[in-house]
Amino acid sequence: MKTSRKERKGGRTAPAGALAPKVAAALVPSLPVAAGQSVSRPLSPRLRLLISLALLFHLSAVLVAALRVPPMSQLINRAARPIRWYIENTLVNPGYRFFAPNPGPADMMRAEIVPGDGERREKVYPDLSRQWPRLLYHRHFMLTSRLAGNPGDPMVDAFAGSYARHLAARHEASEVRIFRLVHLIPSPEDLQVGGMKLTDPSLFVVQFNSPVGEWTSSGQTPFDATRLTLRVGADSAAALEGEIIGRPVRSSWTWRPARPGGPLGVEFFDEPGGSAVCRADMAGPDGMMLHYPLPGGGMQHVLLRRDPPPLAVYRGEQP
Amino acid sequence: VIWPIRRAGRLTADYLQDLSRGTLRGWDRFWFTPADPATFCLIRLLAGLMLFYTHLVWTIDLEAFFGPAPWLSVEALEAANPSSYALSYLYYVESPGLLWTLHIAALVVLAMFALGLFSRATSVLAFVITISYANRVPGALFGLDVINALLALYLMLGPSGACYSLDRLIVRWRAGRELPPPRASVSASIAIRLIQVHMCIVYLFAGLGKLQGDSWWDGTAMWLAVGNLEYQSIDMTWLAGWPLLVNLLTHVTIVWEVSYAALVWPRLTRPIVLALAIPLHLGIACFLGMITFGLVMLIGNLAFVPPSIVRTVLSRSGEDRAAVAA
Repeated sequence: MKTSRKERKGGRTAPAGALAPKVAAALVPSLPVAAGQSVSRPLSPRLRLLISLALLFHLSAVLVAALRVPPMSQLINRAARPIRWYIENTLVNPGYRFFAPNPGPADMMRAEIVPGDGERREKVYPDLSRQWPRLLYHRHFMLTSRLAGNPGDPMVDAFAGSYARHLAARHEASEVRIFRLVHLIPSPEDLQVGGMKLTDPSLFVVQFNSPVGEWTSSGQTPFDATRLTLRVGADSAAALEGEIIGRPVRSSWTWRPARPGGPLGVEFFDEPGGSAVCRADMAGPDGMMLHYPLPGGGMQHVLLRRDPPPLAVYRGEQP
Repeated sequence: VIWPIRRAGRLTADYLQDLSRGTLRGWDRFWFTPADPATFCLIRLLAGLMLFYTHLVWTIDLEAFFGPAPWLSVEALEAANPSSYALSYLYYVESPGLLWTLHIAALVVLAMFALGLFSRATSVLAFVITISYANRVPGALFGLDVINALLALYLMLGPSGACYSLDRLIVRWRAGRELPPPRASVSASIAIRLIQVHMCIVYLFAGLGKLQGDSWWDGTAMWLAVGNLEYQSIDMTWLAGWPLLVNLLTHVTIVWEVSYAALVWPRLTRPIVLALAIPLHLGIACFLGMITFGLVMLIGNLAFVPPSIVRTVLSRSGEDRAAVAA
């Protein structure tokens, strides 16, 4: 069935006075057909209604999925719940935040691999010299970028553990340790004035916004008799052990971040819900100043340091 | 006293009537006016080739991603997202032999889809394959996979093999003569419109997401992109000496992305918006090491190119020459 030229060009003519269709027609060009081209039969009103409902559902799902990126409203969160099966299986779920909110430093991964022969190797991912073509390299880059979180984050733990098991199987290793590695971006001034290169070793750091790890005091302070070990676990447990100015100290606490959203501080509690018995401030990624109240009054400030904690350690256990 | 209220009420009622009728007519015209499938079929050809290449690259390290001891085990995915609904036939593949068989079959299907052979069936299979691979390795995905899935989803809704395809060549060979241009259809219209609308949503949210970041306001975002060695494919750090140029590139990018959804529709501004897409996405392809992502975004932008232009550019075939001449 053929349609008239007018219908093919843009559908029916709007009645006089109806401005909206005219404006719409001017703003949104129709999809013209070639002259002499046959045109399919128009759809029945019932079929158009059904298709329209399906289109409304689909486009709503796309919009909800695009909005379902933190920070998100309760409304979007609730709207997304019943249609998750749909948005996850049409892959509209990742949102479209390319290079947003800011293009960030590269989140990489360092792996310490101990094969059966015992000779420790170190590999950094991604590595353009080993992963080719560029798309394969980018797959590895995306894998490591998923580690941009803190120990204790379920996704980071699960992914890092899986990467460790994969590398252990691949290299027939008895032990694999996965570390986060961040390649910072220098400022233009660093390059222009300081002559820094993008490969400068100082730009490769282990970054955590988390106090999880084992912290120790060096003991090389005026208060040399202060030697402490503070173990901060991903499960909110913390344990302090050692000596402060020669006095033995041993405490088991729970901990929580002191200032959510701000510079990281940590508060320690004897009981959940009680008042903080002790607190600490992060001093750089691997430094922490512990403010310890002495039993007889006064406060002792102890600088603690940590080695970068691994995100995952594999020692031959079965997955 | 009552007269102005009545008058205002009548004006409001007229406006609402005009609005509802106009909306319904506009909706009907937008989605259900039959469209020439030329642009749609060109998108199938290019997106099909991209899907084939994307999955071909998995071949290089297939077992590392999908084998028995992969980068991302199924258990890790369940631990990271216990309530996931994501489906994939690759969850259930444990034997390397079966994995390779399915992978080769997938590549054959994607090649057939790109070439337009049995397009109706292969378009559906291409979508299933795309989603299955993507859902199996969510940690390794990036923008390329999102746009691949977007295109695969809509390409199975319309007559993607109506032209520029082996299906079309077979029909012509059987007919023994030149064929008229393929029929304009509502399904082609719906599919191409969905690509258009979805591309607008992609750019709008890409732009809005960037507005949350300081660097897109202070003009340094482009430096942060080119100063990232892991993305870099061509060294652009000479831009460190051109801060105003960095600012300009940043501002143009964000203005273009945020305004895309509004300015790509009017006839006057559409060519400008599409012309700007080319350097922006080729820049991503050439300088930021994401050749595939840059190209697939350009393929998505093709949805806004009128079929008549596609036919003019690709008018080597008899049917296209006839359509263009007419």
